[in-house]
Amino acid sequence: MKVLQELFPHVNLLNVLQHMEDDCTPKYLKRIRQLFQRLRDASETNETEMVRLLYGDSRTSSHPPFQELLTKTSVAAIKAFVLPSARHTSSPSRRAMIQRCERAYALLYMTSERSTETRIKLWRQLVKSARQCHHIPLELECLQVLQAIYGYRSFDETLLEDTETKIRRCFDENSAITRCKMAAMDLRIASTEGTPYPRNIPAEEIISAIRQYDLYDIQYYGGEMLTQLSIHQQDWREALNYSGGALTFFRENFPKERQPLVHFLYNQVLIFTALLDFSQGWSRWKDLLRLCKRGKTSSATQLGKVIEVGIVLALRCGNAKTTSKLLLAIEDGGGVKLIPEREYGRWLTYLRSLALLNNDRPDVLEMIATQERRIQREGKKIVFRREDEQIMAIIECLQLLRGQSFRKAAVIVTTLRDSLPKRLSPDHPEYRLQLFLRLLVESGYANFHRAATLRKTSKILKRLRTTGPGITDDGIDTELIVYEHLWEILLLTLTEKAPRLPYLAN
Amino acid sequence: MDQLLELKTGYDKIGHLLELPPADKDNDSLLDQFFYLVIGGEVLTDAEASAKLYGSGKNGSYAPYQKLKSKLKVYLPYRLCQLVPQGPGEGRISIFSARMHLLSARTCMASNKIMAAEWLLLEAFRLGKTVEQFRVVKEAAGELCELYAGPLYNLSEFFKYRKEFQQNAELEKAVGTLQLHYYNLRGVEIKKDRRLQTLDTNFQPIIDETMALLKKHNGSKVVNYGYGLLQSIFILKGDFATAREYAEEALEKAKELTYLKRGILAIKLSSLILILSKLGKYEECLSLINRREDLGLAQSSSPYVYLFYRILSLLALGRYEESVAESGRIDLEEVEKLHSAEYAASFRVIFAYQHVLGRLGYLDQIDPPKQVKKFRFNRFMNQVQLLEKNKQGYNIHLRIIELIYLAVNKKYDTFIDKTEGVEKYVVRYLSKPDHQRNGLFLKMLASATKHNFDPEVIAQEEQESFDTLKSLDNVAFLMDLPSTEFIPYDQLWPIFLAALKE
Repeated sequence: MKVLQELFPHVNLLNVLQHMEDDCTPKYLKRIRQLFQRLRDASETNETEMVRLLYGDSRTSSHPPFQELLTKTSVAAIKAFVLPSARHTSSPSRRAMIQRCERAYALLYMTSERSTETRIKLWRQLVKSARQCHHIPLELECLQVLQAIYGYRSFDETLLEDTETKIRRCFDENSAITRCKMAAMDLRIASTEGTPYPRNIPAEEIISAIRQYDLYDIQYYGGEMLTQLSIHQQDWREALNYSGGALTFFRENFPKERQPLVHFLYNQVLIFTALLDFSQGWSRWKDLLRLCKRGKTSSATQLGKVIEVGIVLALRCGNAKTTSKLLLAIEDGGGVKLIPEREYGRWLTYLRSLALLNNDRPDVLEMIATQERRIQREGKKIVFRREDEQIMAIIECLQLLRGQSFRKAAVIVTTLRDSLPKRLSPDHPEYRLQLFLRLLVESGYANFHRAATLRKTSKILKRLRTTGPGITDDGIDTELIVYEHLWEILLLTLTEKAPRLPYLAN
Repeated sequence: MDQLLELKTGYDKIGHLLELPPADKDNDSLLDQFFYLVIGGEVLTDAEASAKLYGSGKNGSYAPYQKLKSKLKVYLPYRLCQLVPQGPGEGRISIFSARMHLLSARTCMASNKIMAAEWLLLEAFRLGKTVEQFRVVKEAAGELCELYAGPLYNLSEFFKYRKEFQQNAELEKAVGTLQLHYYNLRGVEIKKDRRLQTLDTNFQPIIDETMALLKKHNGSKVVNYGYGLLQSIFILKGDFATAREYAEEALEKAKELTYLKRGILAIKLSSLILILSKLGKYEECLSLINRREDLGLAQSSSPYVYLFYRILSLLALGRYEESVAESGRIDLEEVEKLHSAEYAASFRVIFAYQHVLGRLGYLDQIDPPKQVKKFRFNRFMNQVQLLEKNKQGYNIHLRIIELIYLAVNKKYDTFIDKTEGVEKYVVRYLSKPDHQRNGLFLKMLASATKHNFDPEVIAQEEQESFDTLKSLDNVAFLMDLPSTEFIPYDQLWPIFLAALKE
């Protein structure tokens, strides 16, 4: 069902019917039409609703004729979607070239096994093309076919030895590719799960592999893994080095390949975000956005991610001037469509943070408010993560202080105080957030009086300044605006007058 | 054009599965018209194609035609490589189908159609597993890992396919390594490289590696290449007993296979038969051939392999009449079509020996088939010599048959003329220890000249040589067909003496 829901907008009924394996009876045809009609009217229809619509209310989704109908229609839809569309070009992309090689291989494999001169020539051409597009597994397979020819059917000692040497080289390259790919996958999973990174990651082997082999998969997966590991260890210099190396490789060898360029540029924006180097980060981000817009196959989610990293960069570096450009990018990209529903809460946090930085720019504030309204209108139930709730509370508190609503701000500070542990540990992943909250609470105890606040918070501030902001492996950190900067904004909102009654009870 | 026609031959195997709409000459583009001309087999040369597409007077070098042809080279595989259903029990089509599923999955992934990609990848994975396409399975598992670590996040599925990826990568390498050694060894065999017998230690690492891989992995290709390698090494080393052990083990393993079971059983069975015949266990050989029905190989695609060894065993056991009866089932034209000219030559040599046996009255009880009865020596010499470049191999049989044939026909003058040539031949080509048995037997035959063709004197004078001959093993060639002593020399010697007596 999910396959049909996904492909439905890209295929038409007639085309799908053409690809049905068997001839359809009028009744069967009617059901397929009903199925498509329903998908058109309500694409989110689930299997139970669909089976009841097609076969009556008493049926469940496991009803065999319904499952058969789904399978047959899905296969026909896939066939209609992947209809051959070869375009003859003398400089195809890597993916197109791999497809060409694989198709030629499949056809040659189907033919009889005689070793004719033309056949040998075609195998050799395939070996060459597979190497050109760095498709090592296919190159190895073709070489093995040639080995069988030279080693048995048309024995040729010199060619056999040459083929064997190439096969051994392919073995090594294939092993290196497998190692790099698996390590990159393991890291992705550990990063998503938030579990410690596997101890047995063969980092040294991967470093030597990316130095030794200038191959697409090794540079991509190896580069990804090493960059990720360096980011995790907050070794920004190494992270820049690995991602930069990979970028150079792909720009030189595969300038048409968008995916690796997007991947490593994204990483670099993250790294410059962590280094608080706005100018470098912004220039990478502009390249990244350009690439994403250029790609025909870019998904809205990917574009959303790219804009998100741009916002994180601007917020972290405290650069308010670029806000309008970021908001325009959201608008151009399709607005709320860019954001997965589960991340609405997160994006509202970004927008509020941006609003805080752009307090003195009414036009920008208006644009932010428009986006906020759209998200709130679209989101049926917006979920905030705990950290986002705290950030939203801090921002609200700052806005209230700006408006001199000290008592209301004190209520928020009290709530935040209650969430703080008694002792702060530097090992805690949210240590900096906790320090900032402590600063806020101390400011509340000082009745939001500037001089008193400065006096009471000097030690905590010192502790905050001994640490630096980091980024998480996926780059989306709770610390959007650097806490030191946020503290400076807060100080500007504090009063010079002491209140008659304390705002915060001990 | 040759390349297009070569690729088109693939279409003949899958054409029935494809959904190609019929050609529409009025509306089809020029490229489609060319496509239909090629797959319909209507054009075979550039000139024909160019004339059909652009009108007569345009030859193959016509520039627009050349451009169209280069487009078709890309377009033809795209049109033919479609998503096809898995053929029931057809390995080759299943392989094609698995590859097409993987290809289409990648197309869907590139277009962010992840649900369709997942469905196709799971199919490619399943199909690939049934036909042991380790690369397809590995790549499908790798792509599934990417899906389950990303857009379709699922930890348990990720670990499942991660394990499969790792396992299939290892299997791919294992089969590759075995294949590497296998063809290396075939090369050595073809070159008749004697290093095999003298430098045993060179092959020890290969044996160790193969044994380790056979212990660790399973599957048709591993069994085929792994045991094939071990058998070949031990046969070439002349250690038939060890080769037999591995051949029997391979046969047992082949019974447990699911993919290509019949084919590999047939290969392993013929290997064991070969080894048994090398060991001189002809009774076992015959019973194994008779038992092939138990293994489901009664309807073999290559019945002549079993027939060859049946005749050979019967000849070796002295059951000449039965062997001749079996020879009646041989159709040489079919043998050449199914096997090779060399294989057919082996049967011709058998007919020659059987003809001699018939002439000497060993086949009085039966009516020999026409191949044996109407045997013509000169025609036989022409047919076999044309095929034989190797100065050893069939040449040895030609010399032996020639001498016995001359003795049977009492052409002693010609026999004497040939003797000098035979002696020179023995010195020049059969001086190495491998050919000691062949050389000695030919010398024994040639000695008839010295003893005035008196069989009793010859038997007496050559008794010592005959004893030596009996003590020698047949180590020449070892693997190839011409190395076979179609009638063992120990039996052939009394036949030769009997020919002189008549």
